[in-house]
Amino acid sequence: MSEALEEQFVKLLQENQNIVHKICRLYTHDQDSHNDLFQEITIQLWKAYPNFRGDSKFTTWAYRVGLNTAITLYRKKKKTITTIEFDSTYHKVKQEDYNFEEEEQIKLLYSAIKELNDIEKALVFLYLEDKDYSEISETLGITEVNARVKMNRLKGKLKKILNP
Amino acid sequence: MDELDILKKDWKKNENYFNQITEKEIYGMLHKRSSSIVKWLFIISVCEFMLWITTSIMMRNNDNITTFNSFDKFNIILILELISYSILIYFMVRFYLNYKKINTNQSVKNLIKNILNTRKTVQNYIKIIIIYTVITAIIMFYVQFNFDPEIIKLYTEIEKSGNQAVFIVLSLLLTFVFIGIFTLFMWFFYKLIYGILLKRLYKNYEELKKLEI
Repeated sequence: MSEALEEQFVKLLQENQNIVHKICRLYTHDQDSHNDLFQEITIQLWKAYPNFRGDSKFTTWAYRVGLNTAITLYRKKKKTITTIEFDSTYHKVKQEDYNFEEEEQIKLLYSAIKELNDIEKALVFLYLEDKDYSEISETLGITEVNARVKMNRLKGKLKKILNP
Repeated sequence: MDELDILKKDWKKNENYFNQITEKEIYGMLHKRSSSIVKWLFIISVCEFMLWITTSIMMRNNDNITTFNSFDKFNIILILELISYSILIYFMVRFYLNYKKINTNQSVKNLIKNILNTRKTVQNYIKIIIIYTVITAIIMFYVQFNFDPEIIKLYTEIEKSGNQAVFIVLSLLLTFVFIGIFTLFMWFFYKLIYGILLKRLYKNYEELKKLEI
């Protein structure tokens, strides 16, 4: 592949790397596997880049390739760090916004999400990223109605965890 | 406020806390090797095809086959080999076509489906090969009993002593025990390798299919 293409890709990925970081955050349990998955997604994005025609946004395309890699292609390593340690690794809230009750709720929510299966995590991820149901359904390959139904069920599940 | 909205607020707040990867680091990553399961699936599948090709070549140069050829008046070995290579070529082409369909720029469901289809091609090849091996063993067994002068001589002697029933049963039993052990070994081998490799894919595919009900 040409150098110009490589340069263009690296620049785009560098600018939009948070998408990849966020996927890694949901699908891995420690910094090492985070880096490992980040690398695998980068490789897969680069391999798929010649087929990216620009008819969709780079970010939309990156969500799809990134999630496909995390859910399908990436070989998970054994869990070495628990979800509680995960929270302390990633969860850094600005001190001025600190609200103890909300903070506890958020911690609980994060550990609940870590326990969801791969597909449910993808749904929650796309929801948190403000994607509409048509994009969610296209990314996962399910119908819009089913994506909506599943999302509502997930909300119910999370509500129960917070208010047992 | 919805539980997920509380999370969304926090999710967005933390967006800029990731250690940023530099362009130089990304360049480095582009030339690293992928460890994706598709790569492993491809390597294992190619090894399987190679294994069967090697086995077939080794079988052809075997002494027993050379002896067999001497009384094989109907060119059975040649016909069987032609069938075996046709099966191989058919499945290799199908495997290649399915493999080409795997790309990350499709929906999660289609990607998993295409990977599993590629895998299924190799699995079907193995199934066909096992059936082919059993049929070949039966044909060779029959031909040897009827045309191999040494077996005919041995059989005539056994017939004289009146133990022919025991001989036939024993020979059949040995053949089937051999095929049985071979099939069991293959089954175990596959369960182990693909169990490890594809368990997660099957689970996720089932999950996506469940959403469609």
